[in-house]
Amino acid sequence: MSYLSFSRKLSSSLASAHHLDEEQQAVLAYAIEVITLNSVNTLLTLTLGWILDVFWPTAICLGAMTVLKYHGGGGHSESPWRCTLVTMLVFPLLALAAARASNWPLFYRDLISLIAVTAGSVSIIKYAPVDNDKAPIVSPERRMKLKKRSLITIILLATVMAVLRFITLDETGVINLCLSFSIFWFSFNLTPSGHRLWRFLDGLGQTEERRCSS
Amino acid sequence: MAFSRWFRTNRRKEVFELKNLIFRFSGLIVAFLVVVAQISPLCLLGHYQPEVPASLRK
Repeated sequence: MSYLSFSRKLSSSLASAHHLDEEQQAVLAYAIEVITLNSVNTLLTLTLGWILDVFWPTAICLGAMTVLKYHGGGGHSESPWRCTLVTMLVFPLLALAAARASNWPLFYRDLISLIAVTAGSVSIIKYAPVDNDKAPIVSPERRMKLKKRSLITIILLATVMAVLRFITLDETGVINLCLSFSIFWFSFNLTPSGHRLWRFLDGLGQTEERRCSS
Repeated sequence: MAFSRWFRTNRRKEVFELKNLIFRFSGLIVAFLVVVAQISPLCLLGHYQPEVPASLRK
């Protein structure tokens, strides 16, 4: 199992204290890595959102993406640090775009929401759940269950957007657009183009020799 | 000055107590980590997926 050195060290000290076997140690290392990387991603993303004065829209984009990705999966980077960099840049940018577009006429905002929900539903039906070599979905029943849950999630998000559409507060426009842009980013990550983008980002700055040896 | 004197005399004792405390709660930490590992076999918000151990693959 390939984990980062801090997770390996911490899990090995916990495992030796409790006389755990190698597989249980791998479970601990995996959990430590999930908690650490997600916390670092969230902290850095929200900090950049706060610096750009879009803290709450960034938090909404992150929340929407978390519920969508939890069931739907998506394209992945091979490097945790490239993933962190892209995550901390993408979500504040989505939030900034939502804040800017919230001044547009209602017709255009409704159109964006409609296209987002349609694109999200189509990509879920066609591609979700997207797994990878490191986290394969073994059982077909689980695959079906995750697809259903992804569809339920997008229906729930669409319902929230429809309700917010009729609430005349200043913030509701921004929230709706944040949800729409997050659905766009999630849908893109499900498609083969999304996987190609991550492969391209993984290959950036690497020479041919290093790519072959890794 | 008072703090540095206290730190010099009590450092070993404090470090020992801290290690002891961590060891005492390490069972809880392990249980918490196992629960986290069970609930998130697919990645959450980032785009990097750590390798899922064989026993958690479903």
